[in-house]
Amino acid sequence: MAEQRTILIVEDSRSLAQTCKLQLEAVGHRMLMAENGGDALALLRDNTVDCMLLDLNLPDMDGMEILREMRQWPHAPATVVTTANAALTVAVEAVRLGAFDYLVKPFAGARLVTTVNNALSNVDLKREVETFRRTVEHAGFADFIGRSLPMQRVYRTIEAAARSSASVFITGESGTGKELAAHALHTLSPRATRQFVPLNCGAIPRDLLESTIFGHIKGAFTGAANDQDGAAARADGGTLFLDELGEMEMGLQTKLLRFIQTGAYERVGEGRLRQANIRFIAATNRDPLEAVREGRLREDLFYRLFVVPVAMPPLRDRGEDILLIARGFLEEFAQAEGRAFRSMTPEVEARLLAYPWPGNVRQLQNVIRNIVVLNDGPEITEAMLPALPVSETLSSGPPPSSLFNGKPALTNGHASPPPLADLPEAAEAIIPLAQMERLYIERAIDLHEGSIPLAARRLGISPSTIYRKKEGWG
Amino acid sequence: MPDDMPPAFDHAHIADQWGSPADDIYWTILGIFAEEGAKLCEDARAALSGGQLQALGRTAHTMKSAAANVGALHLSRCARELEEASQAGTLRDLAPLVARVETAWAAVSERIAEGGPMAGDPTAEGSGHG
Repeated sequence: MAEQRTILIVEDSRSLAQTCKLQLEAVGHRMLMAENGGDALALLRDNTVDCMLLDLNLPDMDGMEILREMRQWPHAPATVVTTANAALTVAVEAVRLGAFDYLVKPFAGARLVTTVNNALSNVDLKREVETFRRTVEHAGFADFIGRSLPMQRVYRTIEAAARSSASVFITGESGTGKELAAHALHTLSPRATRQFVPLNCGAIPRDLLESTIFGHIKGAFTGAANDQDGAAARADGGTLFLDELGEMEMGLQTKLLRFIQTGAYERVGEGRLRQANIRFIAATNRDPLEAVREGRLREDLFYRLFVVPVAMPPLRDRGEDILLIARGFLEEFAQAEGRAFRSMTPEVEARLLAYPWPGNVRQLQNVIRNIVVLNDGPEITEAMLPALPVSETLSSGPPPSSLFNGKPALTNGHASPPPLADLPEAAEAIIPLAQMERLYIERAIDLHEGSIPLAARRLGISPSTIYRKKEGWG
Repeated sequence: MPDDMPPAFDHAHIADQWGSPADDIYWTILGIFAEEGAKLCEDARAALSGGQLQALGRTAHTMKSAAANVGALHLSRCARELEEASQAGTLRDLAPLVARVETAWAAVSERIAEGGPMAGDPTAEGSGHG
């Protein structure tokens, strides 16, 4: 089915406005109506409008003023000026101010539909060219680096979805740039002037997540010393990004669903409804349908959010992007650390390209940072490469052993159990299991730079289990 | 109604803009215009009485376009003359032009009430909607 486009009709005559509305609705467009310039500007600010039919002779302002105002906007709709004045100078002036075309009233329905469709094709083409130009010129898009085909598809989806207020569901392995994608969706949207509020549902203790999202009033729970707004209030007019959505407990998922459906929410303990106009973006690094099947994600919430899906490709599928990203990090870290690094040897490049990168861009970033911190020179050589774990589930064929310097190999993303030789030989050396567990969990958190969700994933438990245990440790 | 007054609706124009026979949307719009035209006539008379030259010009402008949209070309021409005169002239000169618009509107309104542009017109190809 063709994508439904939004057309704004700015016309003070009711019969003329309805003429355009009915004819364009008949070919599947969604219509917004404004009788004057003030209403038109408000609708343009609050909606993603693809095309505008603009009467130049409005009760409160000259339509040319709207065209002048829109010249400052990065994503102005394609505008077709409608005028009863056939003077060419008016049309020329409108086109000079950015209008795509003009129609002299009265006009036939077929002419109207053709002109609007041409305007939509024109604006689509402009956007596509702009995306392509930005991608090629800057070897990337928004804050992304990379111009591989899988990423070109992601960029196009982000660019198209950014103009809408539709919910977006981002999937992808850890480290593939889900938050970058969410941020790009926000900065390219008409909401860019308002806040982008990211929340990692897996990193916030479950009993605090509700007040983190909705806020609370003084005394709502132990420690609630003052009234406090939550992410919902901060993201009003902007974008709320809910990462690791599957970690949210079911009761809170129900409240979130109601919030998404109605825009209404209650601060914890308050008992009165507040309203917020929010664009929702959710993300998970697991299969969301599996989470639905396992009963960890409400099906209705999933489908409410899964309007525009964005699948972030793993780094191993991005070909030469690996080198573009590695060079970008090399330049950034070399400058930050005062190192002379400028390039990599062809052998290093070949190794980087051959490696499956189970931790994706985040892992590549850490590898380059490690090299820059521990070494110096004009170029990265093979000897500088650190040990890189190999996941058997990700690599095809024998693991690139030259990248693996004798550290524990990963199986299904997890380390093999230590050999028996590493286990205690005397009964006295056995330490209590709970103590061993604590040591092991804390070590896992340290090795993941303090990230509980990442440590939990590596340990094969949920982040909430770690939070619970940490509380017990005191 | 003066005998020498041009037809309220231009059938060729309607056929050109809306097809022949005119599509369903035309009949919906004609119903909306029946209310809008009456309101615009009232607004024009009120603007004239209140001495509001600019409002009169705007109302005439809207009537000009809305009438042309449904094929009421004589009414549209009368409204255009009123619009142009209101931009250039004085209120005293505009009273006869407002009266002309009202007369043209009365003919259009009468034809709509009878069943549409073709109703009662022997030169028309159709005989109205339905």
